[in-house]
Amino acid sequence: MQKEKITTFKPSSLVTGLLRYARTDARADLIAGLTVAVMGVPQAMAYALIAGLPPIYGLYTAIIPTIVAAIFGSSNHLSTGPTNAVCMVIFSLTAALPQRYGVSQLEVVLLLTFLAGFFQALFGFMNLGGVVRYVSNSVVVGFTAGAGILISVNQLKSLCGIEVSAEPGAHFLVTLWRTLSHIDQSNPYALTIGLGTIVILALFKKFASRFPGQLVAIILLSTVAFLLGWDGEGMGAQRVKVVSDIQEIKPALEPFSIPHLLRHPNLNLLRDLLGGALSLAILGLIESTSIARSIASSSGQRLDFNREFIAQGIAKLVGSCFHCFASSGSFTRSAIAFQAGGRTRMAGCIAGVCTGMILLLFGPLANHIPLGCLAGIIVFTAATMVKRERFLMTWKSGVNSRIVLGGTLAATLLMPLETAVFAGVMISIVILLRVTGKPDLTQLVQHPDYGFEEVPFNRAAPSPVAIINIEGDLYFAAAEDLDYELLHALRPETRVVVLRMKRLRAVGSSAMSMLEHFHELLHARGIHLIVCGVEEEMSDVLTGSGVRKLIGEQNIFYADNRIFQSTELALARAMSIVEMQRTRSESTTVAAQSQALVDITAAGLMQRRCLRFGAKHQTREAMWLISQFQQKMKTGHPQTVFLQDEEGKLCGEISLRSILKQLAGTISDEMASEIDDATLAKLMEPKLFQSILSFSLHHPITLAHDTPLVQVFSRAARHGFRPMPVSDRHGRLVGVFDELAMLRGLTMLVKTANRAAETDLNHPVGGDDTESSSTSSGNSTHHFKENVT
Amino acid sequence: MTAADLLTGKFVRIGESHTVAEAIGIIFDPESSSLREIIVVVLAGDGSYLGIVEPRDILESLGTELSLAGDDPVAQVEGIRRGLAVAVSEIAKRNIPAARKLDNLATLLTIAARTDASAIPVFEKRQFVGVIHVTALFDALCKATIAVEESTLPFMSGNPQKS
Repeated sequence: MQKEKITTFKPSSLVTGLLRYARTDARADLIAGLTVAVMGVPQAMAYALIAGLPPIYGLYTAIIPTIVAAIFGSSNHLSTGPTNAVCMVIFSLTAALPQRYGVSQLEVVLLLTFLAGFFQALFGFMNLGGVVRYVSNSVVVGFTAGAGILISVNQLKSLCGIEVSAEPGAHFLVTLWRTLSHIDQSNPYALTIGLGTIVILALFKKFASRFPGQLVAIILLSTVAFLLGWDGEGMGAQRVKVVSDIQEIKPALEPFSIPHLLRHPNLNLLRDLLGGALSLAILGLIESTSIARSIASSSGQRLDFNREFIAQGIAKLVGSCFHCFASSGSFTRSAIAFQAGGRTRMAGCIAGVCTGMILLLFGPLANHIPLGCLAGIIVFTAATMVKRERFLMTWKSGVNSRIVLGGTLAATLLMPLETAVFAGVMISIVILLRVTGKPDLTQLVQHPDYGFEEVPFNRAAPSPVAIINIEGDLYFAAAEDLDYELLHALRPETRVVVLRMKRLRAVGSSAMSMLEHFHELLHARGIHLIVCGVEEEMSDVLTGSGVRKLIGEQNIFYADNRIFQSTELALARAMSIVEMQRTRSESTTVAAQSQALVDITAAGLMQRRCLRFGAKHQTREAMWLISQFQQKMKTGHPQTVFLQDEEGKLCGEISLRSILKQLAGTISDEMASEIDDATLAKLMEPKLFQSILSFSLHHPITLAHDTPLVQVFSRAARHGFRPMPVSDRHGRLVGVFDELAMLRGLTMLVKTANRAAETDLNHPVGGDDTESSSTSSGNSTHHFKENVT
Repeated sequence: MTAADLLTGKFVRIGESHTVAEAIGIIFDPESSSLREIIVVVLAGDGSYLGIVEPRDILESLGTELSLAGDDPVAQVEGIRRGLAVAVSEIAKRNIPAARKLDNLATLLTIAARTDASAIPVFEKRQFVGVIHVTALFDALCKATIAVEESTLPFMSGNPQKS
């Protein structure tokens, strides 16, 4: 009995693990974490301003959620914390609510953060991690670009040091107009600091991107402003505002406290925030997972998106209890963590701890940071949010990408920000439905050298057989009007339409209804329908809907593992139909002429219904064809199959007897009585998969359609009265002169001779009538004699 | 599958004293055309099996008469007339290998391969019980091969029985 392996926790293993970590990854994680913290502190304070909150809350958000998300997350490099797009959404969602409900903005933001976290964790627990794939790259790029523009415009007034009396949450164009209308009141010192920050950041980005340019800018410009006394009261109206003017930063963390609005819920406020919280949750997830995925593509790490959802949710839930606003994955900080050599999620924990230590050690100094400096950082990072290359790449990726990108960008700028992502997703879905609502149609043309050639729909050269290839989804919307669309492939000479349905998905009743109607449309035009590439699922639907019976089993060809096999079979069948129709129409004329001339030829007596088959097939396929043909056409005799090349020209023949003889060669008389049907089939198998040409007679005795009957008999007698194919003047098979046709011809000859004899007996003497009759009978007799000869 | 599953009693019967012309008349009779294969079984006076006549047998017989007639058209017509007047028992194939009612498919295949006839007579206890058309044998072989293919592959191309 197998012993069950019981795993128990051993303190020694934890110690061993920690020691191993200390030896291998700790140093790299420490450097990465410290770098992220140093780079992230100015950003965190600046982004808090975007959310309409004092900078201290940005620092809180860069500590607690960063640590929690790193503990529960799946990505080794995703750095969670304040981000500009999320902050912009927070501001958009909450700006007008404090006034309406008489609560502080911070309380509203904390409630929003809790709700967003709840949704994110819920998505994770519901295994909805895959849902992010439905948000296209174009939506993310469009939204990010729009958010960048909004952030830049909103921070323009802080950059210029202007007091603008706009209502909270006003449209960005209103804010822009009011800022521009007060531009003459700009504070030159604040503007200098703001522009100075931008210049420093630009220089660092260009020449020393690995160094913390934001920190350098803050330290340098704060020192300048402090030393020159620009933040002093003596500057009057030109005074440069600093962080402490909004809310003083104290070197302490907020203690744990459940958000006030959770303890004392306001249902109306809750209802107002729910939609926005959902939007914020989705945006945060999109942002975080796309960043994690982007870095994972470089690191090679396999991500668990459900776990990432849960981690982001818990980070917000916990963060809201420590005065943190909604966080998300930051691309800048994540990229820094990765480039600085971070190896494990411990780097994120270290970054959070380091940020906390910076707050505790240097927090009071942050009070002297000019707001213009933070505004400069925001404007600079907002401008870099619009990645030119990525934007252009998306824009050039086709009209659908352009529509989604432009639509999302417009929605971000013109609609409430929380609905912009949904608008972008909706546009994507509508376009997806429009694209999938029209299956791909192409046409196949058989090429003698390399099988089938695919040409655009409706561009194939006129041919009696139109092979249409349908690919994609054929759900109800896609099936609508497809039947009429398919008619465009028809030409005046089209006699058979072959529908290749190999790569069709989502085939349902609407598709069957369309197929049925298409069959009717073709039938009304005297055109046959053949379907090929039928997969098992499609086969079931065809049977269930009754369309299989309508089309006919002989016109349905099933998909196989060899590409185009069923299409080849369908084409062979189509060629047979075309030849049959052609023969029928020609034979009418031929028969009439023959009758008029009283001259019996091969064409007049031949059997027009005969078996023809492409020469490239296997024996098993020929066997099936013969069997089907004999069952369906109720033929009176074992048939000969004539093999045709791609142009329909005769290239061989194969008889049922020859196949039987070949198959019998696989077994001896002694063993025959001992083997069952399955064993017999297996023994025959090698022969069945042989090319049909290996069984065939390569040079059949061919009759021209106008060969006189007399010559037919002489040739038939020379060749043992074997069935002989009859070809037209182009060498195309038009029928077969089989034993029954020969027998019929002989009896006709005898009857004609008998009638001639009777006529001679009844009109022995000449006269007008007699002469006429005599001439006529003489002709007949002559004809007969000629034939017999 | 055995001969019992494939044999049929639906064929044209003709007495040994009937002529070739009568056999041709029966072959082109509208009732005969409803049969899947036109096999004329020649029966002796006591109703026992004598042989099988097929269109090709008649053609060969008439062809012999024609060749004997030489180039004279009148002689040729006479030859044909003579040929038509011949009794079917004279041209019937008498030495077709026969099958027993319990013979299996493989045995039937080996029997069919030994003859050019379009049917195999089947006997049970020396009594003629019917014929097996080679087309029926052919269909049975098709079904057997398809059954094996289906058992090895879940979904075969060109499988007429698949539904």
